[in-house]
Amino acid sequence: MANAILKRRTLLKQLGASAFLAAPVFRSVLSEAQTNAPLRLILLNIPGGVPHVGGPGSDAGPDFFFANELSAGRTGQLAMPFAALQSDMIVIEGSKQPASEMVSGFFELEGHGGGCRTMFGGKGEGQGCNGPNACGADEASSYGYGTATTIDQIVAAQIGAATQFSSLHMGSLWDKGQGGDHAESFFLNGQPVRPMSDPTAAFMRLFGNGVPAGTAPASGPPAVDPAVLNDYYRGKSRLDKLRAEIEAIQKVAGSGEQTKLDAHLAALRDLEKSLPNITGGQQGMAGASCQVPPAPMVMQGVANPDDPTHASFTMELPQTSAAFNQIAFQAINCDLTRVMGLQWLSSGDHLPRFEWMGLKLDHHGMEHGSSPPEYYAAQTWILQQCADFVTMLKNTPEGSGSILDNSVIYLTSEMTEGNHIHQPVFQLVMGKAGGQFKTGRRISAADKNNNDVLVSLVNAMGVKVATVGDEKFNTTPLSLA
Amino acid sequence: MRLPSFRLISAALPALTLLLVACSAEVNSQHTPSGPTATGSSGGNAAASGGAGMGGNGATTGGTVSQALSIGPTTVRRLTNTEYRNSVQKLLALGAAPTETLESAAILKGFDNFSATLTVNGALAGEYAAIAKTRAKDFAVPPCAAPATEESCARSFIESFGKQAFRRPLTSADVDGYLALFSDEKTRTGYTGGITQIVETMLQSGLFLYRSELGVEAQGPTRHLTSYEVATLLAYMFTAKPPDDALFIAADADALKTPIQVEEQVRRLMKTPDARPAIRQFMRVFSGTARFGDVRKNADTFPQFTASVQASMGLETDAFVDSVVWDGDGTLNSLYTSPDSFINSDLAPLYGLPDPGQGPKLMPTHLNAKERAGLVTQLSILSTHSKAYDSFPILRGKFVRVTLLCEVLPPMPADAKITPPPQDPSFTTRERFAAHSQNPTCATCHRLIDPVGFGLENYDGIGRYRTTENNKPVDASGNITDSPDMNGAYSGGVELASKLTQSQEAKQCLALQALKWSLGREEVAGERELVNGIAANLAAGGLDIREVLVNIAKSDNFVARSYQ
Repeated sequence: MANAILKRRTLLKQLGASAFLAAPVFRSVLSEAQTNAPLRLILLNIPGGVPHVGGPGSDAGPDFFFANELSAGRTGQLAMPFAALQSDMIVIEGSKQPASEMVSGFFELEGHGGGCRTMFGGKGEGQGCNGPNACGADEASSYGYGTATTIDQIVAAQIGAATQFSSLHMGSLWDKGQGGDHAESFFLNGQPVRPMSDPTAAFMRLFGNGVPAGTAPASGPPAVDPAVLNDYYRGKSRLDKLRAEIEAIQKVAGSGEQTKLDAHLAALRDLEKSLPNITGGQQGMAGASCQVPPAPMVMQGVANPDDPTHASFTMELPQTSAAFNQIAFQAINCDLTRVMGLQWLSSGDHLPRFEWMGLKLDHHGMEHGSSPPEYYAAQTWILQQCADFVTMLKNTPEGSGSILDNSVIYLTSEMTEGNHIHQPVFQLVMGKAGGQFKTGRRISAADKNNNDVLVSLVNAMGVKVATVGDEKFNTTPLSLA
Repeated sequence: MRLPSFRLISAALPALTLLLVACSAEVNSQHTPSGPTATGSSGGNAAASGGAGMGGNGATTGGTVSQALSIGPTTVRRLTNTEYRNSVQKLLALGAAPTETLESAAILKGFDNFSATLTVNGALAGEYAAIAKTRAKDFAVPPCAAPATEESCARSFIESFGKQAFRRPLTSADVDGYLALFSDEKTRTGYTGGITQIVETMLQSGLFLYRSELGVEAQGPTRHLTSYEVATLLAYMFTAKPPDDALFIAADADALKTPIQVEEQVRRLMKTPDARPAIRQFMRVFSGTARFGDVRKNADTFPQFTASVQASMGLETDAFVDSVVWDGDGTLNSLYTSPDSFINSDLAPLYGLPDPGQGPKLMPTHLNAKERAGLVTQLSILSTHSKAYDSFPILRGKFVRVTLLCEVLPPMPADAKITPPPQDPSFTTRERFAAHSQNPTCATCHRLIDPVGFGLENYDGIGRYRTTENNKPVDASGNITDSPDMNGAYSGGVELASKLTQSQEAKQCLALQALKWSLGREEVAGERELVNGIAANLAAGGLDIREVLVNIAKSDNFVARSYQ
């Protein structure tokens, strides 16, 4: 991966291009024989806990997950989705989420929101003010945002320029209804990175113009249609102007507005990468099977999409999740991004989401254990969605292995089970990080915090950090090698 | 002094109060403008004493309590999606507002318009760009005829279109910048292409997307908004649209500087048709139903809750709000007590009334005054504040205390294990939850919440009136404790509504929510006292909601900002 970035940057330098040059019309196609495959970081956000049963020892063999579930007299149903992925994963058991506990003490966030705010970032400054106005006039802190930065954004800041989208986040029904806004889990300097929740909009954004076609010329700028040239220069001028205006606003706006406007600038930079490519420079390395995913079924619109008196969403969970899985897979396969966050529902969702499975309760009700069988069934279904997505990566050859082999996939939840408890928290790492991780085992990490795992994941992506989140919650990185 | 409006119902009250003191004391009082001009001496005195009241004895500052921060920070507020759609429509004179998908905004603490949560991410920037591209392509570029030059035509267009887009006259630097953009594009695609480029760019400009509330830098750290900024603030607050011609005229004359000038515009705007949908949105926020469209019910338990019925419920509450705020006496008391509402073929069965026979059209009706009284007993409100499969009195109790009374409940203990009572057809909902409330760990908080919700047990999960549940009589006796002015037993929603009309805390809460909604942010220290003053002055008349809005708009806090 490092080589790939270097090549890209070297090429840009040779071309005298800006750091945010146009995205590819042409994209190199990574052959199966190539070994310089990029690494990807993918975070999977499971709402309301992953109940699991730990067992003795640190490595219980190939059926570790099942063995413990079954020996504890449970059905093992939560492990079932991962039956075919055991050799590709590391189960991390016993570690704590101390930051989640602290921030969950904050008014109104409770266990759900506090866990979500910190599960991928380990608590930034200003998170967890213990009182309704103890955070002062700092609204970001009063919402539990503080200065949170999650590992997807730490990594995207370093490798995001290499792809059309520095990072992508998608969430099935995550922001609909009560509970959603407490489930914001991805942050850059206190700004929530809210997942896309509309599969159709995501499809149009990522694949509205098709997929990269063909391979870039061996050298030199391609012959470009004058109309495309015009489109490029027109778009470039416009984006330069838009960026300059935001920067001008930053100069006169107060300190509290800077990160918000920074986020806007970052959005414009990503937008600029979608301009036509006129240089022939390569960006991204699409897999040979890169293709446009199936278009999501069209959601029924309403006269005024913002009018809350109208039902705002007609796609239900299975359709939404299936659509996002396909879009997310091809976004990785086509190398549109190398940093991704996927989410299903939201922790504390008060709405019924599983009626199509015959489950009556709302997800929040399930989380709180009023009906364990329903809770297990719902969580198993969500975990199956994760497994389906990971399996697509596993089944896609890349280099001498698969995309999964070159990925760092981290699955966790904001709490142990639904009852506002944050230890032990279930953590599952999938993929070999290009050979850096030894998979097919279970690690007992009762003396570790999730921060220690987050550090290891970031480092595996080639981004060297000593700590993630609040330093006091970092011990030493958990070795996954 | 204990301020009832800022109560923490918590054993941790002393500790938390100290934290508040520390917070307030950090602010330099020299930035504080004079007391609220709109609320008279009552509000001003309240603000002056507010620091001491909220800060206890000011122990953390060595006995000197600073006059807490009493104006909000300078800000740039991104347009809400509704404001954006309306703005594009007006700017381009479209027949209808754009309906393309836009990323939904966060709703935190019930509000969908807080500036801190209105950001622009990659997806939204892409959606803005797509809309701008489409609409610019369709834009009819005005012709440029001799003797005017293309540059002079472009300059004229930039100045006029830009003023509407940015809601203020463009500076010479603004004009020069857009002229350069025009000239650059003109070399490729000619005059029309250059103008189209201006339109496409302005439609996604930060100067269009963000409402400036920065004031004038030369005024230093404490600033008064410019007349154009005030015009914009008033326009979006009262119409969810950009300033109209009259506001532009007033701003051009710099005639939005005094409370009288602002009041004149507010009263004018409130007479326009656009005020109705704008204030409806505030009432949705106030009643915790900003996402009523997302509510779902279990189809087995509540098969009646179809999409059509749900939409009718929302429209009923909108019509009810209009009938009180605009067509009635406009008071919070009427909002809480009026048994008059609107039904159609969807809703009549839920109220147990005959179908008015007009299909989906909502018809005015008198609901049973023994069963229904105002906002809290509306179907949409009761459906929102319940669960998919039952009435869930915890949510309803929390709704009353947090949403309608602006109380702050203590946090749940970190080690609390929460397991709502399971469904059991042999008990009523109340019976199931009563046991839960008696658990000592839970009772600390739930004794404050659950008895309030129990008082609404006459309404099921979609708001239908009931006297029995699971073949048992419903016990709808409620009780409020630890309240400044609502303590005591009651039975049913009608009596709860009556108690709300007697409560000053309820009036203060409405005023507080209106202030937060109008300014798009949490209140800063001292503003509770400001709104308490407004509520006190208007209480005798039942709290005219329109006058609350007028008084907020006339206050210093509405137009002053602190640059930090």
